[in-house]
Amino acid sequence: MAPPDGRFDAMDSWPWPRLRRWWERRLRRTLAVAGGLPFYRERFRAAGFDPSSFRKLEDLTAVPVMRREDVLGALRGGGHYLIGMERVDGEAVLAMSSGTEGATSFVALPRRWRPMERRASVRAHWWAGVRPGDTFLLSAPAWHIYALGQVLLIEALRLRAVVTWGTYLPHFAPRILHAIVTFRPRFLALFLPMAFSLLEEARRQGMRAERAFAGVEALMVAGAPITPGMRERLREEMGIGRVVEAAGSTEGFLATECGQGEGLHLVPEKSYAEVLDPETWQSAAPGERGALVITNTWPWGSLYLRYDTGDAAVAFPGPCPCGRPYPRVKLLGRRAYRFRLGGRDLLPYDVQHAVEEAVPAMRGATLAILREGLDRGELHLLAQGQGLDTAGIGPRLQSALSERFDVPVRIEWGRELPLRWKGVPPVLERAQVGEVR
Amino acid sequence: MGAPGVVADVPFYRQRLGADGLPKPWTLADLRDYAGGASDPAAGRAPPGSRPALYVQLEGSEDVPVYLPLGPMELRGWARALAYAWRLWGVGAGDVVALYDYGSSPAVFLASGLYVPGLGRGAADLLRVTVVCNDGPASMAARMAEAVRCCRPRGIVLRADVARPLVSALAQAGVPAAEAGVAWAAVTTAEEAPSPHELAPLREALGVPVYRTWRADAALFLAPECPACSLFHVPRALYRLEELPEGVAVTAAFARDFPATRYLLEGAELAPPGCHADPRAWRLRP
Ligand SMILES: [Zn+2]
Ligand SMILES: [Zn+2]
Repeated sequence: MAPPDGRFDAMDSWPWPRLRRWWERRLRRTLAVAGGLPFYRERFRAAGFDPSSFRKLEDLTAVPVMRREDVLGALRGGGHYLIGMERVDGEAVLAMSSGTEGATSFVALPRRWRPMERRASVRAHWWAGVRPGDTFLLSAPAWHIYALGQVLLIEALRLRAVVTWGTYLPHFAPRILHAIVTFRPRFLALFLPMAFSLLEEARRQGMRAERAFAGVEALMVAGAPITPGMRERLREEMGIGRVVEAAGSTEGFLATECGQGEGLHLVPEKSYAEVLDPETWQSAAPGERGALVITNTWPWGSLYLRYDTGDAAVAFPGPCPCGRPYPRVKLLGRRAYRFRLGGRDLLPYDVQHAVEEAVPAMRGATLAILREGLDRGELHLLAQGQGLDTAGIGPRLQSALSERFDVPVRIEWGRELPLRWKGVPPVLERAQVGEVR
Repeated sequence: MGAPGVVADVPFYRQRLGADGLPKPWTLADLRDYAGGASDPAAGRAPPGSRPALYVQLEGSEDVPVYLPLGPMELRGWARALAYAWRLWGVGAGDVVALYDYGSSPAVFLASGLYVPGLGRGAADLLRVTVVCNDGPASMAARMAEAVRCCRPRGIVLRADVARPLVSALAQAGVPAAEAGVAWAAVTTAEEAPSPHELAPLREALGVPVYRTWRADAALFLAPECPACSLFHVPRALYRLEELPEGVAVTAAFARDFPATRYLLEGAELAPPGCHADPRAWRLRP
């Protein structure tokens, strides 16, 4: 019998000291395994870190922070996907990880990785609202880490599964919408930009969004940080009671919201996570933005220990009212897209948020910031204007943003922005834009 | 093969039964017609009272997608057909195979038990092979070139429309496929097989043999072009071929719960068995 209020198991009600001891045991084992792998043996020696000295979570500070460049450097140096950070027992599935910069790395997922991933995936989706007997839409199978975990979830809970043709790109939205209308799932997991593509597709087909999503009680979104405005719009237009954010990475991060909507709880099986000041690698104060640094807690596959995922994150202080002991974070986007404007350090998330507050009709609208504008100290927005009264909105948006950020603002409405694998990059150079009118 | 008794219960076949109690051979167009007129998401392919654990949307650009109902038996048998193809192309334990197609393509999802629910053991699990899978759009070609460089796959399986982007991405990245250890590439399309001359530029650019697959996803059919005889091999343990007045029809012998019976392989001609690579296999000439 499942515990009440969406908790998955007894662990979800553990007091913090017990979770802490559980993590410490798992980390100790993982660090010991890593100490025997060539990649870490070198790094640990250089940092003077002895894995057998690890006792407490605080001892993690002695483990050197690893960055994506370190992984890519080892990949370039060895010229082979196995770079000495993997524990594999025979064949594996390799998942590709592409950072914002486009360089690709490979994460090995051996058979012994699966039981951990199964438990983590079921826990995360359970929090989000999935239950046995549900129908689960797999809208981009096989090539990314979420899809692999979702296969394990579907098997573990014996869900009915529907595989739709294609991937996350907007032009596959008609096929996903068809599956939603045909199978009427109660729970839906989507790449966040796809949720908006589906609204657009329903509009194009002359279908009321509420009718298209009738029966969907919970929507789980991942792949990009959701703003409060986006969440409101999805709830209102789709008529869905719960919109749950999840965040993850191929390297082993996974976090999901509970019912409180105040941060995403770490899913304990996969990684322990810290939010650190990227200059000093000291803990950022709760509520302060920092770098998301993860440490895998399962000693199989590619091991990422104190790995800077490249994300900007904030940690939430104190226990969550829901009672789950797992710390909470909120991701705000890739740090590679940080910029300085009007004397402040900002992320595209801040601009998106400000746009939505000024013009509610633009909640979830596709936006990009022109790099050349930032270089001149101005906020030059590229926006897709389909379905919007741009003549009416433009001046209002411009004055609200220029007041908010205290810089000159230009808005350029266009029809097409370039799509990359995670949607439109939020900061673009003119040469990348193509034809924007 | 799908037992006649079961087939007679399945709505799509029931309306096609002939005097011999067997359904008339059918094509994808017949299935689409049926699906368009029925409110059944399984397009009449599920026996009454059955509850398919998996539905797969068939590839195609039509407005109304057609879904294929599948159970573990169908998935496992179909995955054995993929494993047969890989083995015929020389893949063995310890190799890496790189995939460049949408994950919703059977050429991808049958590769690993991690790719589709209910499969358990995919071709890579059966052959003890490591797989790496890229998303299907042409814009992902640079990522695929990196996979070729770093994973040194024995073979690359790709959809026909990304062949050209992959060739330019490999050239741009300075990755000569043959030198990276690639022994072959296989081009896969949802229906029928591409013509050999369409593949010549790819063969030339990669410097390795390029094989074809003959797929009919609606019939759970997947047959590889044989490196030895250049015909398409159809393993007897998995499929039954019949020469009917309408043409060659295939029945998936493993599809016991959701039958795939008497699909017409348009343009196919049956060649006598006897290839040294597999003397017993049926052979098809397109
Ligand atoms: Zn909570
Ligand atoms: Zn042959």
